[in-house]
Amino acid sequence: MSKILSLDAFELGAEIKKRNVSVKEATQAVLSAIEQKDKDINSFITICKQSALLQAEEIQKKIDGSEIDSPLAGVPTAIKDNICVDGERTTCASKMLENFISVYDASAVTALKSAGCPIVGKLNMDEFAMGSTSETSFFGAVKNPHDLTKVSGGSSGGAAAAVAAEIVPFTLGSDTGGSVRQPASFCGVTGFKPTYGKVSRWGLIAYASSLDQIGPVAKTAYDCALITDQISGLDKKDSTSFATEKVTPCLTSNVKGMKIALPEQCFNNKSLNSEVKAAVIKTAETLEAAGAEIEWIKLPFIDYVIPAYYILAAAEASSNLSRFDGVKYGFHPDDCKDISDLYLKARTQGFGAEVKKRIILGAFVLSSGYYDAYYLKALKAKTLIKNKFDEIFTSFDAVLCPTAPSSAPKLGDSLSDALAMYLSDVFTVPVNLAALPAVSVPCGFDSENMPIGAQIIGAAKNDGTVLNIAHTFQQLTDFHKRRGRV
Amino acid sequence: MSEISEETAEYAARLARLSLDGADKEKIVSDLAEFVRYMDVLNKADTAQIEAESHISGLVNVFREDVAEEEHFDREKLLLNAPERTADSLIVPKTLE
Repeated sequence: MSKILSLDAFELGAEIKKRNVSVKEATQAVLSAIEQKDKDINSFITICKQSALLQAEEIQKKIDGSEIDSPLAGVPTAIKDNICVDGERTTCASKMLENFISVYDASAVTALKSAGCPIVGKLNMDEFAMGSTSETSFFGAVKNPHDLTKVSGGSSGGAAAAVAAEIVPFTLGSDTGGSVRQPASFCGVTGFKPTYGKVSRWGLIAYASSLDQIGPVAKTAYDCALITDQISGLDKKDSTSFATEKVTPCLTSNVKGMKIALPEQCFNNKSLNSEVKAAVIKTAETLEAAGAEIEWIKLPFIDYVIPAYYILAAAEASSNLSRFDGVKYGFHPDDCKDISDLYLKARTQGFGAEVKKRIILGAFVLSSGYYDAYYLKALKAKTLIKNKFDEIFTSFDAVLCPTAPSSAPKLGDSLSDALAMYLSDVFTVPVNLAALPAVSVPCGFDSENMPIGAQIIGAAKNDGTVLNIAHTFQQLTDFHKRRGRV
Repeated sequence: MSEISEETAEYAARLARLSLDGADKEKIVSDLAEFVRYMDVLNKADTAQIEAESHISGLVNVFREDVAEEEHFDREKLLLNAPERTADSLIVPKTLE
């Protein structure tokens, strides 16, 4: 069993194809690992034991009958709990949706099911994906497998922790402002945020629709490429999705002549921890030794990214979350005088404090008298950021910077200082504002043995370039092979 | 730009059908006030020549024929999530006196 769980998704898929491991054995190994390890880590909200074992049997038959031929066939997976899986609970880690059962599959889930991946469960997260530490979950905080007194990162904390703890080979998360990349960085795994529109958002419960993107968390950049190829492409159910080319063929392990930019404003940022800085500089040197050209650039907009992101995300959230009214589904309060009272009580009692705060901030920046000063100004700042990235990518293949200013903080620290938590998203949110692809790769460990992540950002639709640089780095280093201590 | 007072926060909460009364109130109001003060940094961004764009990914409208596509959702399956229901409908409190 331990052998099965130490494999990455591609390796496990190959063992299943060679009939060295059955789909049932793989699925049972994952289910036992959840039972043994997850009481400490709390990365799962729902375990789909019966349905996963049933799927495993059906998938095995299809593999035996040569009906499916995906490299991921038979490899078990788990899904962040804001992505719908038909017939299973989808809670968004909120009291509001504690008992909500999805009535359809998200398109990304349909794609994984048709690739032959049994779905073993739904993963813990920040409530409605709002948070950077997975501590705002109604179901309790996710713990970091490298140190149970530290956070997993967020909002896809369960998705990263479950891979880092070797419970499941890969997961799907969602990334609105860094929610796949930052927990991947904190947990020492690889997390990829595709170009906006590359993966359909159908069945992803909306937080900020213009920024949300589903992305994989796995042990390697190669796995992330395989998963992305499985779930990406045009979907008529999401009008922002587009037809895409496969990214796996781009993984050539060759970065010779590639131009990689290091933004001064990221490395001189006063919030940046010195050990993180040193590890990411070392990453640049490794890529330089492999033939890439490294050059320092300026990123003058860095001060604007946090206000612009939080204004736009909160504005969209206040609109998207207006659907939760206690009528059609979701939390239902007792003793309502009338329909207005039902709305007010359902929302006030059903949402947690962080969600309410962002909805109120959104209503504020969109309200009469404040709209131009905040919302419109933030939209313009977003365009400014996008234009600057466009300019950078006319002369560079990628931008390299830290994923987060520090390694994982202690549990509880971020909840007491909300602004500090928002500010820690400074390196990840520009990517969502400019709709770009970016990956976080493990690039070192600090003096407390906590993982450090490097972020590689590419031009829109150049997802393959970003993953190739990450893949090349992983051919030359073994940071991604060191698992959690728990 | 301006400060967000307790009164403004309560007004925005009302717009969003939320009540601020409760244990979280003080923390929510002070966090909002702190963030709104911080947002002032955005004033330094020179956006005089910039157009506001709600979508920056270069998407254009794609039109299709106005034909309804059939989605087969089982009524009972949908109603299973309803907090209050009859055999085939949702129940809501009376909206008219």
